[in-house]
Amino acid sequence: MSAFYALLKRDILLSLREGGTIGIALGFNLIVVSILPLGLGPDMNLLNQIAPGALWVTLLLSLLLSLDRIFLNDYEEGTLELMVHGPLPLEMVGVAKALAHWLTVGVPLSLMTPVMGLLMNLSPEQFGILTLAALIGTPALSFIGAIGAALTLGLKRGGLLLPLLILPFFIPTLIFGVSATTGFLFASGNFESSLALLAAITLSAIALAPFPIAWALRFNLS
Amino acid sequence: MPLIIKKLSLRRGSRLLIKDLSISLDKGQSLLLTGPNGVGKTTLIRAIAGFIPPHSGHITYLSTPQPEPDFENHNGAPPPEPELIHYIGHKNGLRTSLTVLENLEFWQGFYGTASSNTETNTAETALKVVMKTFSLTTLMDIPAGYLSAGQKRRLGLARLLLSKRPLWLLDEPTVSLDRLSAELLAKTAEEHLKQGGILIAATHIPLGIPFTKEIELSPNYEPAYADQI
Repeated sequence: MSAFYALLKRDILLSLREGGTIGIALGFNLIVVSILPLGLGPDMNLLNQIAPGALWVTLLLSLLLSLDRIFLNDYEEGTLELMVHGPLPLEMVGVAKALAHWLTVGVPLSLMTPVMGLLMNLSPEQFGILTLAALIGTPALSFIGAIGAALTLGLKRGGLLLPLLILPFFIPTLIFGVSATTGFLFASGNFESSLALLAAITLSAIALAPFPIAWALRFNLS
Repeated sequence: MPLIIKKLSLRRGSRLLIKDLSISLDKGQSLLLTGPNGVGKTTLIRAIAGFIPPHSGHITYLSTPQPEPDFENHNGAPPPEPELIHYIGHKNGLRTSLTVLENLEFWQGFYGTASSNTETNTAETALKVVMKTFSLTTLMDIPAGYLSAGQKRRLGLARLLLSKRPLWLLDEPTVSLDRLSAELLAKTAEEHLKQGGILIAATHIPLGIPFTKEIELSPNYEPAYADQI
């Protein structure tokens, strides 16, 4: 396990030090949510209505921007192929790197949701569910996204292919994330069951994604 | 013979680079690969490192003395375990925003040698020794991105000493090293061989150590599949 922690620690340290990934994801999220009300006009009710969907879509897109960083730098600098000779199976290397991505991008994005909620005219007592749903849903995005990041490693313009490949697989998280949030905000429908399904998607992603990740890494390293 | 390569053929794309290569290396023996560019030295080393599956034939490593394995039976001749191998490729495997010390600390932690050091040496002193061996001590707080090409190479090579492994695969290890650093490498390699390790190196520049065996690869333009002709 010490290898796992060493890798996790290093990846978190690297993304804090290199900074760009987190900055771009958070900045993009903030900018999109800020200009949305300007584009929609001064209808406060409308803003309130579309808030859950709009917030989740921007969350997805901002997270997408940072996905290619999970493996690309390590692949280009030759670190990834050396990790093959470590004591950690490649599957666990994938888990450590996806987890580090979630901790450095998913968690900050989730914790930013109250600010976004404010911009979308939600009241403070509604912020809790936004953050909770985002925290439960985003690990799935990091783990599914890591599959795409591993698959597109060897491609020159992989950054463009990655969203096309991966966005369709984000749809379940989007649907249940939005329905949990809407269910709570407008007391329509059962939000607990949506949250439970959101958690189920996240858990299945964590359990299943390491295998395709390792397969794609092996393929790209040969 | 711990390392046995038997009738190994390797292909890159549809071209057969290496054909029917057989060689075995005993503990403490070393092999030098020479030949013109593009002849398949890197491919051979990467195949032994486990990155490229053989087109045909076997690469196997026996950690305990035992009779010649049964090459017909697939389970009889397992490829070398990844954890026995140190591979030095064209890239140094550094992260440029981490300092020299942080890079080494990561590999020490990753290889799991930080906690399992049974000697009185703590992980910290082990790192100090490694840095001293490759004269990196004065550079330890500098981000790897600011190092010169030769210093980066030394940092990459320092990984060899962070975890004790019997099989060293060095692909052009002396690239951009100055003479003093090349001598450091030669000394490290000699020490490795003396302790019963195996070393395979591909290089154009003499490494400064006597090699037990040498293979001069020559270009092979045969297609990999018979129906391609």
